[in-house]
Amino acid sequence: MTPTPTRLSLLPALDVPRLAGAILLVLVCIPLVAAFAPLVSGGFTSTMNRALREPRFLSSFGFGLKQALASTALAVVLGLPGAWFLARRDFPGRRVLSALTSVPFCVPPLIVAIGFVLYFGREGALNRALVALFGLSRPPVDFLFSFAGIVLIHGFYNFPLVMRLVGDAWAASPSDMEDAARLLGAGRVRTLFTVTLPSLAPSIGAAASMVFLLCFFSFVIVMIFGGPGVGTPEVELYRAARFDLDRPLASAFALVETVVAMAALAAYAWFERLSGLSRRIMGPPRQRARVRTPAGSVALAAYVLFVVLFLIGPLASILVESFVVHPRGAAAPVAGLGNYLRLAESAGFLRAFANTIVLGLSSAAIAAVMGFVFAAAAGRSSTGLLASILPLLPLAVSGVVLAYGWTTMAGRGTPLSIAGIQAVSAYPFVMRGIQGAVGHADERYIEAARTLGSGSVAAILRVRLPLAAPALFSGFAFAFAISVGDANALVVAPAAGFETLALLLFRSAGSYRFSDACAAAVILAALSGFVFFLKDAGVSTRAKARDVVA
Amino acid sequence: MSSLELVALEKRWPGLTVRVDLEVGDGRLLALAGPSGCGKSTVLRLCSGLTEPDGGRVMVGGNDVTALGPERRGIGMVFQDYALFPHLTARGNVEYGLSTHGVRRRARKAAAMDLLDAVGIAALAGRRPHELSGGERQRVALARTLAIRPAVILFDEPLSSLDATLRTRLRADIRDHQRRFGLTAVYVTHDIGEALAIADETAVMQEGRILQRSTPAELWSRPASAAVARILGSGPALRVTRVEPYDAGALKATTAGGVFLVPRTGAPEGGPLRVFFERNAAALLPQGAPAAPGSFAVRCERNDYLGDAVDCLVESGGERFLLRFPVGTAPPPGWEGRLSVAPGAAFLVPDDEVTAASPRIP
Repeated sequence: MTPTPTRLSLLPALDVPRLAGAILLVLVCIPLVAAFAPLVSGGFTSTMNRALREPRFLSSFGFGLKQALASTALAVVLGLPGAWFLARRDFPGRRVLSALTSVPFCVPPLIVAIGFVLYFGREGALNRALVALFGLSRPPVDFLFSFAGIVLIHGFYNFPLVMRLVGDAWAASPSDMEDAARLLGAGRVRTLFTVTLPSLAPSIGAAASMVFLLCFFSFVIVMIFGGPGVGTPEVELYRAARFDLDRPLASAFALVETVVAMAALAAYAWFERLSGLSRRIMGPPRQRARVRTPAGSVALAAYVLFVVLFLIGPLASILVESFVVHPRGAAAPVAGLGNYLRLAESAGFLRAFANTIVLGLSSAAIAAVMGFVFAAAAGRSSTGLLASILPLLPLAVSGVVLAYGWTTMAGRGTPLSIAGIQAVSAYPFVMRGIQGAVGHADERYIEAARTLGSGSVAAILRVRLPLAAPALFSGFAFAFAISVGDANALVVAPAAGFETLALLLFRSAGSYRFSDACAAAVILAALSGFVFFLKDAGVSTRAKARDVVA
Repeated sequence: MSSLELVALEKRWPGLTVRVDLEVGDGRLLALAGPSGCGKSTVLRLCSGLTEPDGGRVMVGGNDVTALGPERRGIGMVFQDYALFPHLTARGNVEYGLSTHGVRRRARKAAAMDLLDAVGIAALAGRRPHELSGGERQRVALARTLAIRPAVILFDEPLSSLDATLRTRLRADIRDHQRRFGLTAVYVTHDIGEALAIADETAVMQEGRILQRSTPAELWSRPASAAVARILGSGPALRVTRVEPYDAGALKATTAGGVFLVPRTGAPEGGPLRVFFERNAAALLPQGAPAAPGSFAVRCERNDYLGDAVDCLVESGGERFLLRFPVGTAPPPGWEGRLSVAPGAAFLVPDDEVTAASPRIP
């Protein structure tokens, strides 16, 4: 029964790192190279020179950076109080606030955009309420289709991410440090600014770089709210390729955009490493205190109200609006299922519905396999280099760039390439959960199984796979939600005749048919909600040892 | 004068009420020992003002500081996991308290370097906490607390995350610094050996109360109750079933395993009793010795060799406990016979362990 020192392999017949490399090559490297290729064919320097002289090239990057920085600042400011509440305070509704942190992952930007139009728009819920309340003659809130509107949407859409990332770090950092500062003579405010925030700086930096990246890559929100002016590089890339048929310029956008994203990603990795270092010296965290003081209750209530107003409000108004039927002519709107019925009767709806499910399942399956293989490969790598780079790399490559890459090769998208693009976009969020369950952290369990007499295959089937299963389910659900809500890939690389709900949604929103859009959005949300429900049901039947939300 | 006085200081949690009266003289070190969860760390947090009391007062040098915030009490604290600021260097950590006290930059730097030198890590002044070892972090934490010249210094299990050898060395260092700076100190630990070795006086806590407070030697050999004896582990406290007069100075205390002669003076009156003797106070009687007063029957179940002594797990009248013998004199495993305890070496203590899982002998 002496265990022989064989190599522990995830898939015994395959070389795992090589498999990971092959996946990376097909799904990321090839389309990326294809996206950059038109640059070279026209002569790299001359193409770049032409791009730099093109006024909209630089102004697009200026706009993209400016809006991403402003959105990030807003998201950080909005997210920090929530992070503090989540990390340090116990209160009724804490779980709800915590659940909201998945919004940026699960609710597609398309739906958020529609929600904001319905809520903050000229005819939106907020304006109607304000007009009715104060008897105004014209709607007071009118900034949506502007720079401020884009920043607002991005900030509100992404602040839960800051809340989550910083909140986790905050919860893990013991309050002893703040106690020590108090005893060394610092008051509460001084402690906050000289100890608490500086010690959280690495996680705040990491969260901010992530939000910056997501805002910089924003596509549909800028398409809808940016108007005819210069858009973000993503939008301009699309316009250059699609309407001007200027591939070299589109490729220049793709290249510079990817370089900027790489820089943001490097910043993210650097901050993550720093926060890992400071976590190493910390003791166990203290328990959360209850909110008891009146001031605390007021602050909490204000924050919750604000979240309800600005995050839940827009989403809820989609649900409400989907049941409001606007009859032809001047008749007053009535409640009913008319929007859903019209949608269901419309040509191609059923096909789009079926396509959405098939596409969602395919990209989720690809993303889950990618996550599993990459996590196993990263766990096996001795340098740790793979472990730190693999999970992040695809983040710097936007779905729009990948989709553009596919169109330069094939002229158009295919359902399979679309699934691949979406899997790459979803995979970083999947990886985070899976890595903990499959990666080197669990090598000990495998070794224990081996010393207890399991062969290497048995150890994988009976230990590694069950350990990873909840994370795989969870990753699958996230990837599915991201895929069904994603229209970017299909907008940029249309696959002839391949309609999905997200595409329907994009078109109706683009042509201001919001009643249809709302019904489609609710169906879409229900679809991904259903998968999340299945995931939770599946996971909770197992030992819920790991919390695997990305 | 900067004595520390806790007057009826009280904190109520659901399931545990911590209530202490305690006074630590100027420049003295009091160790507070007890099992985890007994409330000893709470006492420190109440002292420092990090936790608000539900009642009582904290006095430093005769002044009531209960209403003051933690930053204004003149009390410093060394935390269990050091709580060093991860974004500052060792020197930055030491300077932190100086800057909140308005010390100028140059003076701050000099003072911090002096302190780091005093604790022996001046060479590491520029390192961040994650670049330091556990012992070095502990020294930075100590220097950081000493920097603000506190009147009272509190130690919350400062050595618990270090290995045994380092612990002994740093313990002595902490004691030296405390004496040199003339600080009044409270030192919380769950390690009884540490509590006895470092302190002028030691208080034993259980379930939010102080059971006994005395010099380490007194505590070891004269525990005030069965619970103190169990927490210290200085010897067995056996259940007494009957107490009768023996002679003018002594009582006869009967346990399930034997009969002990105990002094009349100091014997508790009423309530359930136990008989205590130090773990090394028992001596082997020859095989076949009669069941005379002052002896009890045992069966030896196991020997633990300690190098300079042997711990022997014995069973007597249904109770199991450890006794310590010089090497070569311990009864071997399986040995059955009688042990004697000299008159005066055993004495009665109140049995405050009636809530223990094992049923009380009627």
